[in-house]
Amino acid sequence: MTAAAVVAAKVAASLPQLPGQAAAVAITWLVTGAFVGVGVVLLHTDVPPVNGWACLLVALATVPGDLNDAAYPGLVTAVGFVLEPTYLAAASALVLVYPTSRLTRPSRSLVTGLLVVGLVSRLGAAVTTGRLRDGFYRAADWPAVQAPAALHDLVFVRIGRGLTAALLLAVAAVLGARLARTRGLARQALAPMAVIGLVCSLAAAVDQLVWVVATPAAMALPGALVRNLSAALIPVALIADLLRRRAAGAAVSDRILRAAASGHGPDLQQAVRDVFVDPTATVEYADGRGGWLDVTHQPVPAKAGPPGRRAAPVVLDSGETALRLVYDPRAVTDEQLVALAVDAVTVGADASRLRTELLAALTEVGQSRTRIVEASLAERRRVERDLHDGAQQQLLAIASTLAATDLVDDDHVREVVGEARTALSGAIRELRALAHGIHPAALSQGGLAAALPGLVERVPFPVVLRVDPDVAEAAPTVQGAAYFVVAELLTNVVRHADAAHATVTVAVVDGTLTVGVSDDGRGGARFVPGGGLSGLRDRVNALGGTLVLEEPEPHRADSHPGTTVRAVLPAEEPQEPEDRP
Amino acid sequence: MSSTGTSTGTTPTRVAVVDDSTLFRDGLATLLGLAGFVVVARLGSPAGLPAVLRAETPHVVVMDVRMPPTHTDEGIRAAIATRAAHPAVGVLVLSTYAEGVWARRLFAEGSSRLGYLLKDRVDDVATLVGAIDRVRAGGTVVDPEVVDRLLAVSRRQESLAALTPREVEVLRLMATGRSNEGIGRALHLSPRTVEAHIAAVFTKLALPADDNTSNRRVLAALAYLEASGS
Repeated sequence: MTAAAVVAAKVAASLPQLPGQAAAVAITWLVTGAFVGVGVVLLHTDVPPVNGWACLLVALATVPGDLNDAAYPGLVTAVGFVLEPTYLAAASALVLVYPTSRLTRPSRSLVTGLLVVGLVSRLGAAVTTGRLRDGFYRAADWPAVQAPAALHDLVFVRIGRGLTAALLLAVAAVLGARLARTRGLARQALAPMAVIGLVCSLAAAVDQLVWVVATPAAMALPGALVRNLSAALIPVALIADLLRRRAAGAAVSDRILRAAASGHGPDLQQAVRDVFVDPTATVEYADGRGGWLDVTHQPVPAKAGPPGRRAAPVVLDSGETALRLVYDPRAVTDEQLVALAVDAVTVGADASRLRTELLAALTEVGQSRTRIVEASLAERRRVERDLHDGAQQQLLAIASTLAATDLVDDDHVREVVGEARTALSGAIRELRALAHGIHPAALSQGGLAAALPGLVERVPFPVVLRVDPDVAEAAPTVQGAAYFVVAELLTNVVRHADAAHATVTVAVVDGTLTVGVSDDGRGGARFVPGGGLSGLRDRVNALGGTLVLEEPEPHRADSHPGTTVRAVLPAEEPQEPEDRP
Repeated sequence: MSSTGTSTGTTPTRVAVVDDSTLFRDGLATLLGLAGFVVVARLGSPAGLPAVLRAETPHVVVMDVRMPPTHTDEGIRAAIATRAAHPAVGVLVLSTYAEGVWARRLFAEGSSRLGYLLKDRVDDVATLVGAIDRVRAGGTVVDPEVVDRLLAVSRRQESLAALTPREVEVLRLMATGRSNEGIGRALHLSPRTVEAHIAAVFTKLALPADDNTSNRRVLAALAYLEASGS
């Protein structure tokens, strides 16, 4: 609405000039149209709306100058003439306010000065007369105040225009100083606008000074043309900057997010430096005690880096300030960009921490599986020892007491007690077999090599035992686990295989302990969920090992192809992984 | 059955009992006392044994295997140490389990005045008394079950494959410390047949057959089993 009104006003105001000065009018239309168009674009983006409204204001300020035309009545012409300098003030304000949303005090003074000097000198020039041209299309019946011609020529034209030119030069100086003061990304962002503003204000100053000099040669200078053409570039610079910001934002999101998610501090710091175009920018991590560490985990001294640096804290989902971005505010003036970078780091760091926590959880699960298997071995030892020290010794004590009846000369007593002794002796044997099955004493004493013979001997058919003497080098826990693997496999063979022979092999090769049990039975062993072989495989896996069921050879597809199961275990106990930094 | 504890000597056999189970220790001491032995000391661990050996001069120490402080093989180590320090004192190890690994370690340095019996044998006064007497007299006692185990394992390992079943039987009895006569009685064979079998065993196992003492025979058999069992 506003934009359409501005365009309509501009076209309507300048229409009378069109037949004679089509080119000049076209240029002013171009300028106005550019400001309106960019103003509308800026109003509909997420950059601060101040630039959008300023653009429309500048576009509107181009209208009064068009009213200063012979086609209009005297009063209208005068109003247009007096209000024409608002264009300079508005354009200067737009250039000076960029890229933030507020004017600094010197800038505000300059804009106010341009407005006041322009309005006062134009008003004065309009109501007085003199020899110097002032650009006002006086209607034939326009009244003039009776005043010395010097007032009009010197004060309202020369001093007024001169002051305006001086203010415009000051605007150019402010822009130049600002460009010189900034670094890195801020300079990249500011440069197009500042350079165009500089050219534009210099051209406008020249355009004012020709009225001061007022010679024909000076009047021929194309100051107004340069001013108008460069003014038309201001909106272009705005759009260019908008696009650049968009690209930079995408780069921030992409580059910083990826670097932050990698969890690698130096990468993240380099990404921040690249995006901010600030080689002094750093990433610092909270050390949990109020201090900060750099990306190499060294403490950051309280007074580090160039003075005047700014820190943007990164607050994670958990609410903790885990790290911060420290940058040079001269290099990065775009607070939106900083906020974007902080957001990207937050998301990336959260992702990185999630992954680290997931890894830690997986490691913990693996370790706890190992601990469970180890605990079951320890539990077997404990139960066996309780049996040995408790029930077994008590029964043996009773046996020795009852044996004293051997020394009694009473057949009847011996006969009565004899039955009890027979039963007791059976109980002692059974209990011993049970305790041995739970955890053979030889396993604690001589390891796998010492314990396996006692195991093999209980199998009701011949078993060949081949034990690599190096097995003594394997960790006790691993030997214990291997023992119960063999025990369970042999139990399976006895129960299911219908075998006549079996072979147990134990070998230590390249830091692994391999136990294999082969039989000449009917074969057909499979891993069934919840089955004994699957459970055995789970326990072997928990110790970082593998359990393999070897298929019978094809040509042995007879009724007894046999079965071979092999377990490969790391010979060393699982190590606790080192803490990740 | 009458008291037999003095059958091998003119003086009553002085016995020290070492076992961490109070119940078993007292039961065994009582039984040994009834059987005619003089129980001079009852210990809960081998820690006090050296002092007892000096002060009470037992003829035989009857000792458990798993005792404090580690409950692993204290009895085996104490038996070896006792034999080294007091060669005249016999040691009879009573074990809850028949473990070949313990037997091999016990007899590794020699077998005279040494015995290894399952605790189950306290059930049979005659066996127990006979074992203590034999150890006091300088002989060797190996529990039949331990021998069975060693032989069985060796057979599994196909190292005794060359022996006939009868020869394995003879070797088993020989390893328990029986004389030719004892073997012949057990197998209902004539001494001459037994001698033939023993000669065959020694030949097949490449053991010298020139010494006929039971001690050397047990040693030879155990040495062979030790070599093949590991």
